[in-house]
Amino acid sequence: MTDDLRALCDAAVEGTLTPADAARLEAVCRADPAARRYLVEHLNLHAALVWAAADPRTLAREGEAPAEPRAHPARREPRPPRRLAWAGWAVAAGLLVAAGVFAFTRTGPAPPTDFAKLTDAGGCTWQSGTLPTADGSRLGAGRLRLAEGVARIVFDNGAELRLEGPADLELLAGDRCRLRAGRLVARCPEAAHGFVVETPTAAVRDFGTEFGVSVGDDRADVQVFSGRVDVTHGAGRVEELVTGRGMRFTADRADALDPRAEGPQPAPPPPTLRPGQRLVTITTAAGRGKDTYVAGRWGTTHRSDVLILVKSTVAAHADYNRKGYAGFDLAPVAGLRVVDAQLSFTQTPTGWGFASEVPDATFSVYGLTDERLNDWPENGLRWENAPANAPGGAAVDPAKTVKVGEFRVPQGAQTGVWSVGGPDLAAFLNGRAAPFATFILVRDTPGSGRNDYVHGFAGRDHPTLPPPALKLVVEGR
Amino acid sequence: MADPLPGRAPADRVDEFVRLLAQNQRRLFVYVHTLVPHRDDADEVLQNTNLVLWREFGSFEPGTNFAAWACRVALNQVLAWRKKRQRDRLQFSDEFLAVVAAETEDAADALEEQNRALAGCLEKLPAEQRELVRLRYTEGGSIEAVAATARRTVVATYRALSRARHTLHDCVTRTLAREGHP
Repeated sequence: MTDDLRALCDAAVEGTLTPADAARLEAVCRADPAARRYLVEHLNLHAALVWAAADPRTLAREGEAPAEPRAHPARREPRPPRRLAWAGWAVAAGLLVAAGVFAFTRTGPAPPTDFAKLTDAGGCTWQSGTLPTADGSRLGAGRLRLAEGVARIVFDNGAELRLEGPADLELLAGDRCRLRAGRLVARCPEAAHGFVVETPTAAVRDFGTEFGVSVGDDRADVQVFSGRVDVTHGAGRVEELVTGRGMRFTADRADALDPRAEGPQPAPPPPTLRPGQRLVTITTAAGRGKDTYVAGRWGTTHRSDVLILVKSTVAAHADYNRKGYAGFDLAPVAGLRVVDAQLSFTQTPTGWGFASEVPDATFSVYGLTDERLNDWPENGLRWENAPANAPGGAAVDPAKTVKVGEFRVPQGAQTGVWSVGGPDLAAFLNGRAAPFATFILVRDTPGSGRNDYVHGFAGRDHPTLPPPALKLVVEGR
Repeated sequence: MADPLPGRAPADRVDEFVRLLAQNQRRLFVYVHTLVPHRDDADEVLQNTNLVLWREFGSFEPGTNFAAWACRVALNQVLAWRKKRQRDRLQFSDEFLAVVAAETEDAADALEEQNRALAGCLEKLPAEQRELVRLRYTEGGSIEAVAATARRTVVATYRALSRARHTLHDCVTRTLAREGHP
């Protein structure tokens, strides 16, 4: 379990929780059954120690002989005077009366401050965000990532959004949201005047309308179906759009929009192979390939044999940092020149920590240039002896590594295939003397330190997901 | 002394009550101390619980689960005790306490196993940590008192006790895993 949860459990046991700590602990335990169990086990352990301590045989002073021979602990029935005293006293004092109310209730967890409701989401497929996605859920601030389908979100002020997958929406407040990607249609009644849909390039303020917003690469398209909106973009410029009008907003431009000009998203082109070139895929599961991760002092309680775990957190909790290592056997391409290369990691949920405590995160991939260190053990690699490891969650030894690329994982994303590639990666691979390459995967973006999320990527022992993979275009030298 | 039994509990059930309470006293003790970590407060709740158990024993149906019944009575006593308390002395909300209680009951068997493994784990604890646990729990000392006796700072004592508890938790978990428990 995380250091923060540990600390909170200690404070709960010692009765030193501040109100803020107590609120945080409650929130963590309501969200995460494992955390709840962990807390209960610690409260129980504390209670069991109080019980055990009353038995003079259990916690004898050092050098003191136990009062009598010890039976098997599981069979022993301790009879310390203090505890017998209250049991007997209870019987003797049975005539006294204390009022007992037998209204045993089990109150379900209440959600935090919420201001909207998710409806009509039955047919939707969701990617992991930070908000509940069950139909009818109450929603507060947080992130929704819709993979497929159309979901309706009704704000308490009456504003209504229809979110169309794939889309990435952040609810900010009762009258404000931020569309990071995808499309939505907003309908705002009188009561919801002033409702704002932010996008990366423009903010749309409603004045009693129905309008559509579509966010793509570096642009936001706004179309007004009825009524009027004001769109703030660029350096505070405002455009007024009325019924039937549409505009495209990029970082520095606002242009009239012709919706008919929109085409389907182009798929990435397949690599074009010239004569003499071929495509080779090498994974960590092939040949002498290997992968693992190293963790700081406490990280080892969250073990995984099938995942490569990566985490970077605040300095105070550095013991929880994790870094991934992936080794590739390059024998299949020995003697060939790498023309193009792409290295991919397949992300999968870990269930450890809060995604909302990590912002959009940049991951860096480093190639190990000191080839004497390629011989690292897959089992038993530790933080202290990991090749080119350096203190902190994101650092590696610059004298022994070269950065070959980075990728960005949006907040809350727990699945996806993330790749780095290009000339730096190809140059690194061509520069290897021995046919082996080691890569180090780190998260540059630190989490909050409040039980922040541990990212996980399938390793070579994962039963279903693909292991880290190198896709190479090679040709004879 | 007159007949010590209240009207609703027949005389021949005295032995049964004492036997059931003795059998389940650890479970009940630990349950209340789990929900009320402060020792003196927990003792007060336990005393009230015993009174009510005794008074209501006539309504306990022989052959049903005494521990579950007793824990339900205890939880009501915990909630009644909390009502009399200053809010600022309570760490958790009533709602969350109910969640903790529910989880404690759901995990009751596993927790009982852990508590049985505890004595063996205490023996394995390094002498220095063991001594701190002894001072804190046997002597009933506050962290400050333990720190003074052990000649450590309060912060260091707090940390060392935390380490000791987590070592014990790891140990009981490992012991059960080795014995084939989930």
